[in-house]
Amino acid sequence: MRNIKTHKVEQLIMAAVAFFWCFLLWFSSAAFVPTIASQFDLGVKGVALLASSAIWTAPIARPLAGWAADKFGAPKAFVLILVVTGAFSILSAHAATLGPAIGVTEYQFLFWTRVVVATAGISFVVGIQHVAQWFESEEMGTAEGLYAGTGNVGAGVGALLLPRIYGLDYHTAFIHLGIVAFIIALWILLRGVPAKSAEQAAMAKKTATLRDTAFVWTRHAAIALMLAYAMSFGLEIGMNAWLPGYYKMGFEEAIRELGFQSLQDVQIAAGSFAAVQSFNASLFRPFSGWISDIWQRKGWTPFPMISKHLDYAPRIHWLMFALLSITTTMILLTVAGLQNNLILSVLILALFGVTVSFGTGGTFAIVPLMFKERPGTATGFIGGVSCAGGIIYPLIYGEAAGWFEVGGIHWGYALVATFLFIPFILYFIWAMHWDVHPEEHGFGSKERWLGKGGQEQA
Amino acid sequence: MAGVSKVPKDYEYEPWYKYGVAFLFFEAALAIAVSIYALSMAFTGQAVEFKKKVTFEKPKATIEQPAPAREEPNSSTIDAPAKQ
Repeated sequence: MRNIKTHKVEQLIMAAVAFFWCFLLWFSSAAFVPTIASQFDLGVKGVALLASSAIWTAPIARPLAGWAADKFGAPKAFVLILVVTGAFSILSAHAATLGPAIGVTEYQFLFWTRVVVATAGISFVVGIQHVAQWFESEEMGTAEGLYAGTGNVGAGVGALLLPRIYGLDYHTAFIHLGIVAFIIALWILLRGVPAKSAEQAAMAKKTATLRDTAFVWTRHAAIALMLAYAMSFGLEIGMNAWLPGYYKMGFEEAIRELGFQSLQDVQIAAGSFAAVQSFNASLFRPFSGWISDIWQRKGWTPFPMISKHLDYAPRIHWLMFALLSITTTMILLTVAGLQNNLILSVLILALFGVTVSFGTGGTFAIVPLMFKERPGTATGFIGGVSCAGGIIYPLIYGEAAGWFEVGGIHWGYALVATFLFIPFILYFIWAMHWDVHPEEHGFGSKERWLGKGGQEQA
Repeated sequence: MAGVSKVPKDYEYEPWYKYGVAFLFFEAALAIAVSIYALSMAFTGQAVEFKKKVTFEKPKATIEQPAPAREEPNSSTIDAPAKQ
């Protein structure tokens, strides 16, 4: 390991800045969708395709990023992600000349280079691993919360500031975003250190094997935490895509009564309501990590059946509380919608965003503690596969709208809560009932996946 | 709510921790401020202001106003985009 004098707070700031910028890159296309849509005459389906393409690579590439963070160290993984996505961001700004030069249309070149830029979102797992390698277990919730919450704000900041700074000139924005990514990569290259000790870095590297990956992916606790994260972060990104359309279709009359008459005005109002969820879900996330630390300090374990004897048991109970809160607010969203009460719906949505942040912050206050020897692999699986929720939930909401004659568009939340989230919670309770090493129980024994040598090693 | 916590009661956090907690309170306050801003903006109708900067309309760089002096009968004029 490199001999650089550093402090864990510097490493935390470095990880948070890198992740913030990656998040900005991830959703920078979305900030300019109106301009791109009008320039290339995209219809609703084209816009939806462009918006959803930002999530395509996450479920597959995040686990790979987690493995790379364990194997090569988080700083190298961060540098690689920033350089590649920064370069493609700059290339995408020159789609008009580069596209025809290689025999594709300008839009095709822009679309596919932006898909590569959107892989910047995989950096989340790299930073989680990095923070876990530097901070003590007592302060893990706050440290991980500060990292992830500050980084997640990149999406909201991009949506608010990029159109104001650059107007319709997305080309210049993409170039500037790419250049800053290079600068941050250089900073990490010079000052990044993979772990607080060489032993800790070596342990993570040693467990970054295919066998260890298979072992983690088959553990009940890892699957339960993945489902918990699908109930929170997967839900958050799915709602980001779904909510503007929901408010426009579900409350069009109520919005028009507020004075928003034209189609564009209704769209803007619906988008503003939807932003409430996005901001609360990301900015309250660090708060959730801190509350997890408080539950840990106070030793609160109120729920029956879940272990009360693990070192980090109160953190599991806090996450359980978060999962119940998310499920409750989902049902309340349906209730407010069926009453056609816009104000109640938006207020519940704000509360819903906070409960989602409880889930996201609560999950990653546990993961590094439970999977101490394989933080990157576990984070990659939990933070990656759960993103599939962002694709699945909006599809269910859309399908559910056709099943009911009246108010069908509002029923999706209650159906997802009842038929997906409640079974997820029951599985979570069962997976967390073991008092000793819950992370070792799963499909197939530890010996089967790791072999005798691997078992001794871990 | 009795439980088992392995964090010692007298555990002393490092100096950075209080600044970290202060920062997360700042972020939570920012989230509340943005929520209030977004809600008030939408409910009072001021959200329409956004439309001047973010719009689905095609950017029209070369729209020319008809020259007032040379107006011919039966000629078609180009309408400027409606101001909101």
